[in-house]
Amino acid sequence: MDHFEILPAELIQNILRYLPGRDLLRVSCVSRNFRSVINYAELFRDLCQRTSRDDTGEWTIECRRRPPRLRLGKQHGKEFCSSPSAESDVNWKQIWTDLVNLQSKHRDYVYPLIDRGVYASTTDREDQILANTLHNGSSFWSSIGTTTTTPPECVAYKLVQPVCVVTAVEIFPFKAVSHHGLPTYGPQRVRISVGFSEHAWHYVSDIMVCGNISEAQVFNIAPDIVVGSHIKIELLGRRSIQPADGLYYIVLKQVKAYGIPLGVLDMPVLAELLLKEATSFGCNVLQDKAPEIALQQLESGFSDSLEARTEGKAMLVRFAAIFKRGDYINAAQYTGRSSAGPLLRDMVEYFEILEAEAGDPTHLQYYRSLSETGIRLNENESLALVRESNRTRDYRLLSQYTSQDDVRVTQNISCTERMGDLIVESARSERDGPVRKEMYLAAMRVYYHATTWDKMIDMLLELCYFGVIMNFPNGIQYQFNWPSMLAQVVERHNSRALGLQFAGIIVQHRRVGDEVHRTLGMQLSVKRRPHESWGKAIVRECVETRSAANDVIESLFKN
Amino acid sequence: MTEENTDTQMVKLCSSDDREFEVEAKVAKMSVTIRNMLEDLGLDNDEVPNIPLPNVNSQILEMVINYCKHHKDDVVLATDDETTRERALEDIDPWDQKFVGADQGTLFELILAANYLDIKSLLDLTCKTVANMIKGKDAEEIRKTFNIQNDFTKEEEEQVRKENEWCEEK
Repeated sequence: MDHFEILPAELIQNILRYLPGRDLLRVSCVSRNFRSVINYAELFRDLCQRTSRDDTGEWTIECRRRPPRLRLGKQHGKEFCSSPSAESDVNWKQIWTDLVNLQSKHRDYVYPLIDRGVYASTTDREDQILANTLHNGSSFWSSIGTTTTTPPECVAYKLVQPVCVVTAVEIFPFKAVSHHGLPTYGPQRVRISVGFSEHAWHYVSDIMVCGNISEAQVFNIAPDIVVGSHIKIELLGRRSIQPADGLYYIVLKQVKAYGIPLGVLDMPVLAELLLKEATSFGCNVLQDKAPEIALQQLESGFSDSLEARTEGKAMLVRFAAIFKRGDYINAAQYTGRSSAGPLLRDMVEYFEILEAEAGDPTHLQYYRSLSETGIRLNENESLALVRESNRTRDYRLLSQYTSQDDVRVTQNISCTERMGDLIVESARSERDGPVRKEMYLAAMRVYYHATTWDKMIDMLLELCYFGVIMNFPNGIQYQFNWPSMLAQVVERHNSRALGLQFAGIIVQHRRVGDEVHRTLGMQLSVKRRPHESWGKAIVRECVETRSAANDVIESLFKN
Repeated sequence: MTEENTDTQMVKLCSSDDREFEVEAKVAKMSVTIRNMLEDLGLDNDEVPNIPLPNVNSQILEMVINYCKHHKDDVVLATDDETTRERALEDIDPWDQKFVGADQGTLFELILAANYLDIKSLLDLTCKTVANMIKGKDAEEIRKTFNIQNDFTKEEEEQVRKENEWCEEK
């Protein structure tokens, strides 16, 4: 007998309160009873807002595995979530799922967040301003010198969006290679605050130790989920004396902040919650707008600023987000129209994304839209287009791009031998005659544009486009092996009649007449390879039925 | 009457199957329910009060009394709820572990009794123990452990599985 049946729902709930989220999800799969009697929303809300304190600020593997927490506000060791979290209509299970996904994808969410420096508590010289810390160069920001290690300094930055999830801050202390003893002027400890203006900070981190080495040091806010538009970094305690004047300085070479601008957080339920939280902390993005509208505005606003930054990795994440939700038209707009598009379209990861989503029948829309933005698919994109057409057996777009219109072909795709091979490979296993023909035709045009003549002719033989072979452009240097070609036609199509037709065309053709005289005769009489006996037989047939060719053939055999 | 007096005084607890247990008031008062009842009765030194507990049978009541006797001198730490919860699943003291090591039926009845008698530490202990039995198991294993009937239709099960698919990936 099932012992849970004797327990009232609130006691079962009480038991489940002790479980981590993943186990909770599993429990909800056990039976109808477990699915219906339990208020999972409440359990998941508790999980999202758990407030245990064991954060050392160190970024360790364990830390990454720890469950994320919505901990939007924290000051003087007191933590709080604001009122919207208490709303009952929030889908807490979804929020919890989002938070866990957010954490497991943490590595992907590395958008650079800093837009500009807002203030520094002190600045030593005019050319050592805070703006220098935005780039990795030889320049730096320096505080004024002090006689003791104690006086704190403070720097603040504005972030790229009015609402950003801040996951980490990276600080690069400056090492003065020109100073005696190569001192590094790092701070002893740091504390990071997040806020919605440069004066009010609703989140204040614990104090974290900063090593005095001249390399990027990461200070994590994650797994806390904290949003803001500004960050402040308090630099507490000084390490090094400048030999020249005997004073203590703090000098930073570069400062970065990482996280997720809300406009690109592809988790609508979580994004909306964060937006409401942000509003309660004084962020004015929402105003009277519907959350979806505000999020859309954030999203479009971010794409522009990202373009200006041309950060490949960030572009990639952005692209993946749009692409993976199946919004191929916007994805194409994103790659096709933005200035960083070419950079993105060269990245290996970009093709991995294209391939990862393969098999979706609407996926081809991406390539169509991309072409429509006026750019030509590069070699890899063209290959991806072929693979996708093969997978979905939809060759309409490919046929369109490989039409007779040469200008159109070169405008839309980049033809390569590999591309043709891929089409042929797939065509060979295609059962539907008309579709197969369409594919061979596409492959032939691709080989033509890739100037792979032998394979192009192979396709023409496959298609029995003998006329095209005979009118092969004069400028193209290609040594035709007529008997072999004849033999192939007969073997491939298993048709004497076709061979005969081809042979007739060959021997009657004026331009190749002389050539046939030379090569065909030589091949037939001297090199008697088995398949060439086909050619010979056909030519004989030709002799019997077409008197006009008679003389030529006769003379050939006399040699 | 002073606090010490009430604690050393004896009370009679009467189970649903009419067995009587005489225990120190201090032990009995670990149950908030009994404490409230005693307060309502207004204690008098001369007689041993008799508390009827119609929701608890003698086997379970005896166990509860043993538990309360063992823990009567525990100092109740004002831990915040969250730390207890985080440590919950690992830290169970050996005596307690043995105590809840009985069969499942008893364990679940102890939960009911702890809830009815309002003994927070016992309720925590028993609930944690069941949670421990659930933790780390997939749905099928949970069903097996607790002998739960899978009453989903094929379609429902598919839907449920899909909903929670992602949590099994990592």
